[in-house]
Amino acid sequence: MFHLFRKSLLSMIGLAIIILLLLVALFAPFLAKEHPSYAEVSTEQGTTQVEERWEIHFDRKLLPPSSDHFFGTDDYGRDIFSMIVYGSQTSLRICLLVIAISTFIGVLLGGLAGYFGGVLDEILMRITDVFLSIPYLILALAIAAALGRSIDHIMEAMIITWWPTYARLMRGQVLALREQQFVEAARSVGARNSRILFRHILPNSLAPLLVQITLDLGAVLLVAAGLSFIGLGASPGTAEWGLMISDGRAFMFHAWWYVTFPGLAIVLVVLGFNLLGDGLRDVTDPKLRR
Amino acid sequence: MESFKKKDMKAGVLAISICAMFICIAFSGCTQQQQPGNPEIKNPTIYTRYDIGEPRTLDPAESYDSASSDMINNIYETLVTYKGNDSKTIYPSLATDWVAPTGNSSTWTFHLRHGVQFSNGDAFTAEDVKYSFDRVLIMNSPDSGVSWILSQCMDTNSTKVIDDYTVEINLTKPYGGFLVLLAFTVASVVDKKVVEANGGVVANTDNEWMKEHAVGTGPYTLDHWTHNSEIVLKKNDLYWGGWTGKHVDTVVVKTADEASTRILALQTGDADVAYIPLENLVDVENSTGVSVLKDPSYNVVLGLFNLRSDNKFMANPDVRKALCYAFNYQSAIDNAYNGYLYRLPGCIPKGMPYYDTQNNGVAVFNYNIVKAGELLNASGYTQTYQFKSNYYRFNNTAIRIWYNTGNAERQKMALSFQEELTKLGINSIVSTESWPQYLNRMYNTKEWDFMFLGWMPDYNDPDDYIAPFVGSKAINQDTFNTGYANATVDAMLFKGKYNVDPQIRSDAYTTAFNIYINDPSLIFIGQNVYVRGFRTWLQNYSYNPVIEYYYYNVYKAYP
Amino acid sequence: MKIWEYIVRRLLLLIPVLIGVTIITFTVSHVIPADPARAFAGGPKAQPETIARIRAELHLDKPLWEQYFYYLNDLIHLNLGKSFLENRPVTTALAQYFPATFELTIFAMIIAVPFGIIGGIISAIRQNKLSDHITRIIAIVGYSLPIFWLALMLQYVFAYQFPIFPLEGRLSAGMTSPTTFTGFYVLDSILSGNGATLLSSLHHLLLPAFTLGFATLAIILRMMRSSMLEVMGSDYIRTARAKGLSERTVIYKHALRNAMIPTITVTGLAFGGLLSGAVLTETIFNWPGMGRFAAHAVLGLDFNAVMGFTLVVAIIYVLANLIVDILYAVVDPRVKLGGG
Repeated sequence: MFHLFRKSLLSMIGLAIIILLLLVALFAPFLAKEHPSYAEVSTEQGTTQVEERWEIHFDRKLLPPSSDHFFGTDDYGRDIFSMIVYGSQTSLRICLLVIAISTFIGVLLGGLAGYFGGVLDEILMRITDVFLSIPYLILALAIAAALGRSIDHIMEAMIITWWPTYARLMRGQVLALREQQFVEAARSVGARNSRILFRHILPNSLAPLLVQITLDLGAVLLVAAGLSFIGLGASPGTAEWGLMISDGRAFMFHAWWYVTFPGLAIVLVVLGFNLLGDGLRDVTDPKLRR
Repeated sequence: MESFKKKDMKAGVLAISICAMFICIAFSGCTQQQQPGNPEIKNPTIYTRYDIGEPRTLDPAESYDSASSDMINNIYETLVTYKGNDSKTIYPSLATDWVAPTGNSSTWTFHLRHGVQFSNGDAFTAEDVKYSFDRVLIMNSPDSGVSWILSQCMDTNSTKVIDDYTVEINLTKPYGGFLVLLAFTVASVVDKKVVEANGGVVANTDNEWMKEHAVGTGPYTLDHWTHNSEIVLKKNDLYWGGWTGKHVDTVVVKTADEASTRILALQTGDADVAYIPLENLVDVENSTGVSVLKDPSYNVVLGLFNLRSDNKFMANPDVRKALCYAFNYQSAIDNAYNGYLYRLPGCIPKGMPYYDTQNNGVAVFNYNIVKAGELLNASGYTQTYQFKSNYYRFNNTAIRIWYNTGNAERQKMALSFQEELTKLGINSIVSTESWPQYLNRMYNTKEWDFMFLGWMPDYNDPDDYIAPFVGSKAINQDTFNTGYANATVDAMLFKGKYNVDPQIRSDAYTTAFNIYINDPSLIFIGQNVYVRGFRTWLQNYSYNPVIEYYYYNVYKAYP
Repeated sequence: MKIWEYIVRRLLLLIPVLIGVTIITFTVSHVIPADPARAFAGGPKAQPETIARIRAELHLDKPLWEQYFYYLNDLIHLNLGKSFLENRPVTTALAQYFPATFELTIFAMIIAVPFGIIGGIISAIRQNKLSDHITRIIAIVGYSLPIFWLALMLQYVFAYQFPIFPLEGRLSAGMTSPTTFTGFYVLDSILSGNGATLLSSLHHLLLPAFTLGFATLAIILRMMRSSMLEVMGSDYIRTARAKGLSERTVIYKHALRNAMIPTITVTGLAFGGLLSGAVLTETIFNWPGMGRFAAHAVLGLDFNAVMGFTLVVAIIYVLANLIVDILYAVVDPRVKLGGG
C-alpha cells in the first residue's frame, strides 16, 4: 500500500507539510525568536488553566518584514513569525481534538444505528438531518456565543456540529457491510454482535473513515479560523491564526503582512491535510486506479 | 485520442471567452483618471456619507440614537436649534422669537414662523406644534423610552394654542434648560394630518408607519431607505429657507460596517465624509483631496471598578486607588487612541461648565507603578503566591478585565493594563464578549472587576455626567452598577442640580469631587476627539456636538 | 402520480426536521447569558420601563419551554417576530435580504458549476497529464483557502492595489437601484432595460461570487473527475469502446451522463454550503444579504433574526436535497424515487 502512495507526488508533499507542522509545533520554543510568558488563571467553571501572554512593544508596532522580524510585527509590536510558530500548537490541538471526539461519537452512534436499525436508526437519522440542515457556521457561532469566548468552547461547538457527518458515514458503511458474505458467515457461526461490530465491520470501515478524517482535519481548521475571524473563538492576545487575521484586517491597507502570513499558514496546513487525504483516497479506492 | 484535443480546445476557447467577458465587465467600471492638482469633484450635487450602523427609526417621537437623529434633524425641524459648530447658543428655527418666563411663572410663549409648508404642501400651524408635543407624551415610545426628555417638565396640558402662529407652554416645574430640550429631535414638529391619516397616536405604542416614512418642514425629504444599505434624501422644494445659494440636492448615507470599505470610498471620492477608525487614519491622511476633521467632543472613556465584585478586595478604596496609579494614561492616549484623546480629570468633560471643580482640571492620578505597589503593600496585599518566576498578590486571584467585542481601542487598553498589573504582581484575565452579554455581566452579575465604557451627552449640562457616574442607587443613579454609594456625595449632587446660583453649584461639585476621588469607582481615562475623514471639496463641513450633521449648508466646490 | 406522492411525502418529512431545527437554535440562542432587552433599549442609558417592556414582549420572564411555545405559536401564524437590531419585523428584513443573497449564490453557482464540470472532464480524460495536475492543484487549493482570507486578498489585490473591481456593495455610488420586480439587480436591470445598472451590478457581483463559488468549484471539479474516471473504467464503457464507437460518443453520450449523477448530488449539497459561506463573504463585501444580517444578529444576540435566518436556510437546504433526488430520477432512469 505504501509504495502506491509513494507514487503520488502530491500526497507526498501533503505528508511533508504535515510532518513540518508537527515539527514546528514540537520545536516552537527553539524556532521562535520571541516567546510568550504564562500565567495561571482560574476559569468561571472553577478550574485553573495556564494562559499565554505576549509582551507588548508599542514602540515597534506594524514594522514590515525584515531580518529582525521575518513576517513583520503587529499593531502591538509583537513578532508575527513567533506568534505563527506558537500558533501551530493551538491549530494542531484544535484539529486533533475536534476530529478525535466527533469521530468517536459519530462512529459509535452511526455504527449502532446502522447495525441494529429500526427505531434507533430512524431517530438518529432524523437528528442528523436536523443538524445537517442548520448552516454549520451559524450553529457553531450560536453555540460558541452561548459558551463564551475561548478556544475550548469553539472546540465544543465544532464537535456538536461535526459528529453527524461521521454518524452518517459510519451508518452507510455498516449498512453496506452488514449484508456482505463474511459478516453473514460470522453471524451464522454464532458470533456475538459486539464481536461482529468490532472485529469485522469496524476494521473494514476504517479506510473511508480515514480518508474523511484527513480531509476534515483541514476543514476543522478552516471553520475554527472562521469563528475566530467573526469574533468568537480564541481570547484576545493569544497566538491563534484566525484571530490574527481578524485583528490584522483593519491594517490591511498599510500592513499587508499582518493578514497575509497567518492566512498563508492556514492555507499551507489545510493544503497539507487535503493533499494527504486525496492521496489516501486514491490509494484506498481501487476504482480510481487505472 | 485526437478528437479529445479538439474538444479540449473548444472547452478552452469557451473558458477564455468567458474570462474575457468578465474582464470587459471589470474594466467597464473603471474609467477614473488622476488629474493634476485638485481631483475632479465626483457627483457635485450629491453628498455621500459612509458610516457604520443605521437609524433605528425616522420617527422623532421614538428616536434616541445619533444615527436616527442625523436623518430627523434634516427632514424635520424643531422650534429652536443650534447652528454651525456652535453648541452654546440657541437660534430660532420654526419659532421666530419667544418670551421666557419671569418671576415664579413657568410659562413660555413662542411665536411661530409664517408661510412654512410641510414637504407635502400642508401648511404649518400652532396646531401641529401642540399635536407633536402631546404625541410624544401620549405615545411614550415603548421602543426607546425617549419621552422622558419632555415629560420631566411637560404634560399634555402644557401646550396651548393661542392662535395659528402662537403657542404657550406651561411647564409642570421650572426648568432652566428648557430651550435645550426643545432643540432635541424629540421636539420636532410633525404634520398632524399625515400622522392622523397613518395610524394616529396610540397610547404607549410606537407608530410603525412613522418609523419608515417622514413628512417634515426641513430642507430634505426622504427619497428611499434600503435597510442596512443606504438612505437617500432629496431636497424639499417647498423648504422655507429656499434653495438660492449653494446646496447639495441629494444626500446619500451608506451603511458600511467594514472600515476598509469606508477608507477606499473616501480615497476614491465616492464618499464625501466617512467614519474612519483611529487606527486607520494613517490610510487616509496622506491621500490627495482628503482631510481629517478633529474636534473635541463631549464623549468620555471610563474604566469601571466593581465594588460589588465577589473579589472582596475590590471594595477596598486603596486597592482601587492603586489600580488608578497602575493605569498607563499616556500609553492609552498615544497607542490606543493614536493621540486623539484628552486626559480627563473627573466626570465633567472639558468645555462643560464646572470642569474646574475637579482639582482645577488637573488629573489626580498619574501612572506610577511604585506608588501603586506601596499602597497595596501598606494594605497588606503583598506578593506571596509564586507561579513560575513571578510572585502574585491576592493569592493569585485574577482581576477580571472585560471589554466589548470589536472595540479595538478598548482591547489595546485592556491588554496594556494587564501588562502593567503583571508588573505590579497582580494576576489578571482579559476577556471580551458581545454587547448584550457585556451588559448582562455589568448589570446582572458580580463576575467582573474592571470594564470599559463610554458616555455621550443627552443634554449640555454637567448634571448629565456627574449624577449618573457617582450618584448612588439610593437616588436612582449608579448608572454603571459599580456599587459606589456615599450619602454626602448624593446630597451634593442634589444641591448642584436644583440650585441656580453658580457659586453654590460650584461649591457642591467641588465637595463631591474631593470626597469621591479618595474612594474612586471609575478610572477617568479620557475625553474623545471627534474624528471624521472628508473630501476637501466639501465646503462648510463642521462638527456640532449636539447636531452632528446638517446638510443644508454644505456644498461641493473648491474654494 | 408516483412522483407527486413522493414529493408530498418528502415535504411532510420536512416538518419534523424544521421543528428540530427550531428547538436546537432556540435552545442554543436562549441559554446565552445576556441582557438583550437592555441592549435593545439603549444600553446603560436604557429606561427601566423600556427594558421591562421588551422583556415582556420577548417573554424573557417566562421559563424557556414556555418561551418556545410562544415562538411556535407565532411561527404557525407565519410571524417570525421582530428583529430588535433593525427595529422591524424579521419577515420584512428577510424579504429584503433574500434576493440579494440568492442572486449572489446563483452567480457563485454560475461560476462554480460549468468550470467545475469542464475542469473535471479535462482532468479525467487527460489523467496524469499536465493539465490534470494543474486542474487538480487548483481544486485542492480551492478547498484549502479560508473563504474570508480569500475575500480579503482579492479585495487587496483587485480593489486596492489594482482597482479594477469595486470593493463592496451591489451598485456604484450614486446609482439608484433598478425598478424592483424581483429584487435581483441583474434581472431587474434587464427587465427595466437599464444598461448602466446591469453592467454595474455584474461588475459588483464578480469578486464576491468568485469568492463564494471557488470552494464549490473545487468540490464539483474533484467529484466530476473521480466519477468520470470511475465510469470510464466500467464494463459498459469498455463494451462501447469495443463496439467501435468513437471516443467522442463514448465520453459525451455514455460516460458523461452517468458521471453527472454524483456531481448533481454534490452540487445540491454545496448549495446549502454556499448559504453558510455567504455569512462570511457578505460581511466582508458589505453585501446587503441574509448572511450579513445573520452575522450581525448572532453577535448582537438578536434571537428572532437568528432563528428566522436558520429556518429559511434549513428550508432551502432540504428543498435543494429534494430537487437533487428528483433530478436523479430524470438523469438516471434506473433510480427509483422513494426507494429508501
